[in-house]
Amino acid sequence: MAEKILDVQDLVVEFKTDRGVITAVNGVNFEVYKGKTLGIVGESGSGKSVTALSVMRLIPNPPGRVANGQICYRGENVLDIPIDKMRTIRGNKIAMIFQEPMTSLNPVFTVGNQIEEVLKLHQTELSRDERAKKSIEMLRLVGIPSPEKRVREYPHQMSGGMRQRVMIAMSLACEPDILIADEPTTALDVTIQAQILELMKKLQNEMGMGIIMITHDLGVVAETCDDVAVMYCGQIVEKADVKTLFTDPKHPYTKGLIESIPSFDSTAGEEKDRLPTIEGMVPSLFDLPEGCNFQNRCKVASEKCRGTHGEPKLEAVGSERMVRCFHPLT
Amino acid sequence: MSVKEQESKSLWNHAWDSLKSDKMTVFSMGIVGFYALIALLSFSGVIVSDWAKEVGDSYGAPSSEHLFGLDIFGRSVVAKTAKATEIAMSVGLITGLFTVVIGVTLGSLAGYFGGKIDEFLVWFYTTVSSIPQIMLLISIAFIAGKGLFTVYLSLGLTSWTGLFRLIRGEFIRHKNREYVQAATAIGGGDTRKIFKHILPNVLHIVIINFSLQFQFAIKSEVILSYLGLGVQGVPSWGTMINDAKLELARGVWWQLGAATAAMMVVVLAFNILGDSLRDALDPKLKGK
Repeated sequence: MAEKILDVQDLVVEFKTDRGVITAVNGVNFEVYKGKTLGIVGESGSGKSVTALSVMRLIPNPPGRVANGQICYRGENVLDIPIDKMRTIRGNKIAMIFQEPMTSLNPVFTVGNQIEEVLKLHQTELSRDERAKKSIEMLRLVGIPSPEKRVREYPHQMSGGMRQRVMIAMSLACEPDILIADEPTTALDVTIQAQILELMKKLQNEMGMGIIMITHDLGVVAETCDDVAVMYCGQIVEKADVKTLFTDPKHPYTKGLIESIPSFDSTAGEEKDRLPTIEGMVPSLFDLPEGCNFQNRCKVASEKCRGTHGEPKLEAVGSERMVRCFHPLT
Repeated sequence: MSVKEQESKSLWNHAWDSLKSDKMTVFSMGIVGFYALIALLSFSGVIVSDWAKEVGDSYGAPSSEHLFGLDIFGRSVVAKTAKATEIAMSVGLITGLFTVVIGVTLGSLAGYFGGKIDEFLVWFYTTVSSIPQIMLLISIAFIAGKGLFTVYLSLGLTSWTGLFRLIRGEFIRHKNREYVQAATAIGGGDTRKIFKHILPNVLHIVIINFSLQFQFAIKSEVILSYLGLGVQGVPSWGTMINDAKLELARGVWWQLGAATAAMMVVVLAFNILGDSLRDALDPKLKGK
């Protein structure tokens, strides 16, 4: 088994709003291993981005607050590290790529300038020339043609895919242990998506970092991840390695998600005209139901799920996989 | 097939190109430059150091020798106007700098940190701006005594509110932008985010405001001096206009004419320049 570099335990993140306190992330556990990719999947508002941001300690406080739990990076709890030291970790040991490449670069500086800034912050021993050289090297690494010229360009002169490559170059400039990718391909079109994912995979093989891939796209998960955690209403409802998850989902929600991926083969049944969907709505975080959070949309929900048995626990089913369900599918 | 290579240009290059392409702007820049030159020459004593010298009869009419005539003591009005240019430009420059330093510092602190700091600074700003500015100018002038220093001080202390409001708003808008979050994610601290990341993105506002503040300060100095609260002992356009109150009855129009014309031209030039700067620097107005 690969080396464990990040261990998140019982993470609870709360946000104070005008209507009361909501728990955006409620008791999440996961581990990230060196050279492996963990996918966190879920729909909007399921808490996946908040989870990622709390690893970087980027939750805006107030209104947000990590109410409970531990985030251990190489045995040290990130939540207890003083802010000065945290800054030496951000961008250096743990780096992040954001969803919107169009807006996550500073519009008034050249891209070279922005890559150099990361180096300036964390690799203080480099001279100005070395930094400039390294930023060109980074651009070449992420596959930007004629990097010597591109390095002097401004973000507005680049396409979305290019900018995301620059973001990747920035985040990898210090060869971090962990790369958090918060929906890195959502804002890009499909061909570019594939290129970016391939690039990340390639760089992971070269540098051996662990990746946390946050996405709502199961296609991305299937292509890039080793392990997957499915989130719903701030909780992990199922965790398994990617192959098991797709071939044998145990949680009704996971199954629903996989079924609602459009498929090209229409031989399976007569009623294949309509894509199956998960009926109903995600419950409001202000007003979560008693029992299982998924009960109102679940096909197999019973009285037990709606009743006073409390929430289902995340329990091991077989080896290496966990499900939060009273009636795991077989 | 060859694609023409284009050198990447910064915002400032673009702005400069756009400023250069407009004749009116170039003309205004020329005028401002001319005024600045006169002010500098006068300041360094190269010209009009002898403005107080009597060169002819009292109230001598404009002639080929004295283009704008002479004042009550027989001093050249042209020399006085030039000397007053030095005063006006120095007031514009120094109050402009005051405004920028106070407005940007307080505005960025309030906008970036928010919370209690913001509440306090906004309270302070509302208080200052709720007092009619001319009253505030006069009271500061009375407390600090008359003179050029008072003009700098009173204008500097009262005119930062507009810039404060703009900068605070922009900081609130920018601090939640993704690029600032990305700056946090690469390990940047507050100071770095304020000065290195957000400030360059709002700098155009500072520059535009500075050019408008400049001409506002010139006008205010004229008003203060006209009211007798401003510059003492050296000529100012305001005191020249004040002198004209008595002179006009005698048909002596040249002192009023020279001061007004000098002021009007520079204020107009700064206004045009301010407008073009806004067009050139504000990306929202680009391509208009």
